[in-house]
Amino acid sequence: MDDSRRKRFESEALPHLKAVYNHAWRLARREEDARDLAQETFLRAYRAFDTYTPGTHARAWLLKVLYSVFVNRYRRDRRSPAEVSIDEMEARYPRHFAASEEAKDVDSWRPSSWAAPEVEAALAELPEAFRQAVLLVDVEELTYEEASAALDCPVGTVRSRLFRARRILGVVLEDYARGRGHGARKTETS
Amino acid sequence: MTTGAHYDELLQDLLDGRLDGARRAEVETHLATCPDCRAVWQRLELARAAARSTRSERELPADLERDVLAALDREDHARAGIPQVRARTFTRRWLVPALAAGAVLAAAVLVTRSLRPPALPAQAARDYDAIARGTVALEVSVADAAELERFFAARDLGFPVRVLDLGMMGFTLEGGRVEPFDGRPGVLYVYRNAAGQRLVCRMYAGRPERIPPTPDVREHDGFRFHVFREGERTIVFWQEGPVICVLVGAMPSEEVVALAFAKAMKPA
Repeated sequence: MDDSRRKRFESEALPHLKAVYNHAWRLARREEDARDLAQETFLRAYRAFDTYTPGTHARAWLLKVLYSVFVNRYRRDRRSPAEVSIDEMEARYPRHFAASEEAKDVDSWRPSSWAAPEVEAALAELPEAFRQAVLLVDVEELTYEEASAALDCPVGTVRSRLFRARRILGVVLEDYARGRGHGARKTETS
Repeated sequence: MTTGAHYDELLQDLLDGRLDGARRAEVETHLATCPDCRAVWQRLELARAAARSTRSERELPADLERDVLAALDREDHARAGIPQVRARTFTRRWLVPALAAGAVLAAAVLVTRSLRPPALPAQAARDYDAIARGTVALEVSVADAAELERFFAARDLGFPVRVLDLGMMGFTLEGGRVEPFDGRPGVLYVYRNAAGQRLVCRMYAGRPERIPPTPDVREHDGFRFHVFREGERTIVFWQEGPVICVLVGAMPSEEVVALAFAKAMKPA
């Protein structure tokens, strides 16, 4: 048994357990699943610890492992719900690419704070790959490059997914905000 | 207004501080005069602020850290403990019977060797060499595990093929082919790491008794891994439901075993 390896792992990785657990919760949205994902992530990270470069961004590396566990388990369990594609979402919200009366007077209805359930519900509407880009860059504050490594896709793909996700999210949140009484709600259909 | 479309992702680059001075000034100038881009930019900013507002963290479940540490303990014991236990037990209790059995076995091998089919580990190692040399073509070249699973699913093999993404272990999927093994329906697929080392995984229909015996058996996470060495190559067999899995690699032997541990997964 290599005690030094175990100690190095505990000192580098274990401080990020809470961050990994929270991100697992955001991915799985269920307490038990989040626990399982976090535990499996640390076990797999420990096995793959030799691939980690000491002193680099340990949290980003652990999130990469988490995504790998999540994707494999998600597919294994066949729990993937039927997703609406980003193209369908953009068609549903045609004003996402253009100016609108709502956007012009954004300062008149922009809420001073967001209610987490509303934002989480809006995030949940996004296709998984697009939601993941938002979670990693905006919530976890990873760089595009770190998110690209975590998601195992090119930086350009992260940038593109992030852009389309944020743009749709902005429109969905406009509706949420206006529905909460910040201006008149306007329903939009394709 | 179509001009806005040209600045779409550049607006996001501006928002995220990813533009240099000249480009930044250009986009800011455009933004001041284009209502469509202004609307998009505001939505991007709105979405980012809202997403950031969800950063508040849940507390860790009280026993999660304990459970993680316990899982690491089990992993340490699996890696280090089992061979030690086997060696000690072997030395103390079974040395004489083993020598006698070994003599009988050696005689049996001499008598029956010419009648037996090629040993599966040796065959798996030869196949590995052929793939590494590029003399065996893959039917499909694909880096996406789900896509390869769909390819195999369409071939009606009689068992589900699960292809794991080993990106976190530094291996990228190259592709696969349908190929029987041990006279049974099967598939193989290939990974490669940045150093150019390949990892070949086979899955074929078979029951546990078809896995070749070896003195080097590792038990881990409910699986029994049969480990063989053929020159530089390490070959690991294990059972997953109705399927026998084989992993072959030419990196240090324990790395291949660790990859097999990581790859093994109970059927859903």
